[in-house]
Amino acid sequence: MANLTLGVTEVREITAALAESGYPDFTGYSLFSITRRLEIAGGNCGISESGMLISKINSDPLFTDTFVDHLMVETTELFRDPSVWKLLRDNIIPDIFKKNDHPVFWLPGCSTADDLVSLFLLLEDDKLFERSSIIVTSICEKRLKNIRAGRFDNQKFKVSNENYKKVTGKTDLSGYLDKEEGKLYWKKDMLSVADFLPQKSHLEELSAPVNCVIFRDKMIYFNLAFCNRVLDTIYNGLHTGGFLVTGAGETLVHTLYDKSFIKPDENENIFRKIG
Amino acid sequence: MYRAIIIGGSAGSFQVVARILSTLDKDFPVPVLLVLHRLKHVRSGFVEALSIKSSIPVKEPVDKDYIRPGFTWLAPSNYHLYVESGNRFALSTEPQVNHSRPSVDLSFFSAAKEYRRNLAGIILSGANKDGAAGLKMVGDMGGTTIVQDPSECQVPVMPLESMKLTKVHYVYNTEQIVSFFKKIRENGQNRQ
Repeated sequence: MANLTLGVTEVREITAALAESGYPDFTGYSLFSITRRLEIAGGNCGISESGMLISKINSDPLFTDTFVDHLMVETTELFRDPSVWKLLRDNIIPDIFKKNDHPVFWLPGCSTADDLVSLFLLLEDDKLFERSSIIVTSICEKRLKNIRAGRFDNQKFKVSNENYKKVTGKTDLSGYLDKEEGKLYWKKDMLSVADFLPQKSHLEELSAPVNCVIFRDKMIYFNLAFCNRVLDTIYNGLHTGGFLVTGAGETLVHTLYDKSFIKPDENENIFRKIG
Repeated sequence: MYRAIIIGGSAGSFQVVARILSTLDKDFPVPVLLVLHRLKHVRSGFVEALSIKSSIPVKEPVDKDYIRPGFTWLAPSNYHLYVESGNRFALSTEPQVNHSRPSVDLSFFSAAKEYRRNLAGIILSGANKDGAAGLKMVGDMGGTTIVQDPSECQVPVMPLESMKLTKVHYVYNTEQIVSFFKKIRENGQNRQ
């Protein structure tokens, strides 16, 4: 792995080059985060100098696809923050189905299948997934392809299985996984419940409103102005009474949308859109 | 003038942190950030345990909270804690660094870039090398570097690794670290 060190000006130049090449605009990312991601992604791609990186972005789409793939932050596990998923399972999802015949769930900005599989496992009882639409979007087509392929990182199994038990009370995730050449894959029918759409920007409004947006630990990488833009899209994309699920460390308090949502449970970051 | 003091620690650091926090008063002029290795999936309990010992409120920041004095800010479990431009916290779920999330190194890196010479970094007892590279960066950017005296540590690996990587400004025992904080309070934030 090469060692790439970037200053503020170089970060601006690289994000501008990405935007000019038709990739999403990363200028709304927090400075330390995007600097670190660019340095890691550049290093992983064998780049040690910003000029070389910009030149590759401008001339080599295949390279840039791989570079953007390395910019994405992996999710850490299935059912991260089990208490949030338990609240979804016990209260929020029943409420959604009580009020909607065919609810729509939207998972924007996905980098792995973790949140999709977590949601599927919650909807599995009574085959609720058959009465739902699940839309998975990502800025990285390579990631979407990987999510659809169902590859699961073996190293996440132990913690994911523990979380699964906490959330569902069931015992073992193994039955949902197939092993091929030493690698774990989610069973194909689990992932086929979703529609996979590429995003050209970080968050593009869907054609019709949705009932629940699962957008966990994504806004932590954005600056506040960009968070407000993203929340505007989410707010407009949600039905009144719909839900936004964020990461445990995220808040709307510092944003313009603090008064646009209420929390059904003070301890968990699930927000209901108010009219 | 310091804009922040970051304390990094792991195994064996709790008693030292508790002793330091017990001596701070509500008018302590500098934000104190604690980046301590902790159980990954236990979201509550640690704040309460530290609050019992602390004279100022202990709080886990949420993303984009302002970094301000009057609080001890404890890095939340299973997130890295960054200091971002605009003097706000940012969280991250990036992979573990030195088997740790929160990683002391990453907090030091981000804060050193933002605060440069106006940062003090302290490494306490702990069992891995997390914090060593970060403390070096704090020093390289002009900040003050302190390690707990390894002879006093329950587990001296973290201070020793830091001392291997950089020439730290001070090697202090617990009471000397407490005095460092007292002097900041008395001198109205002036650097030591």
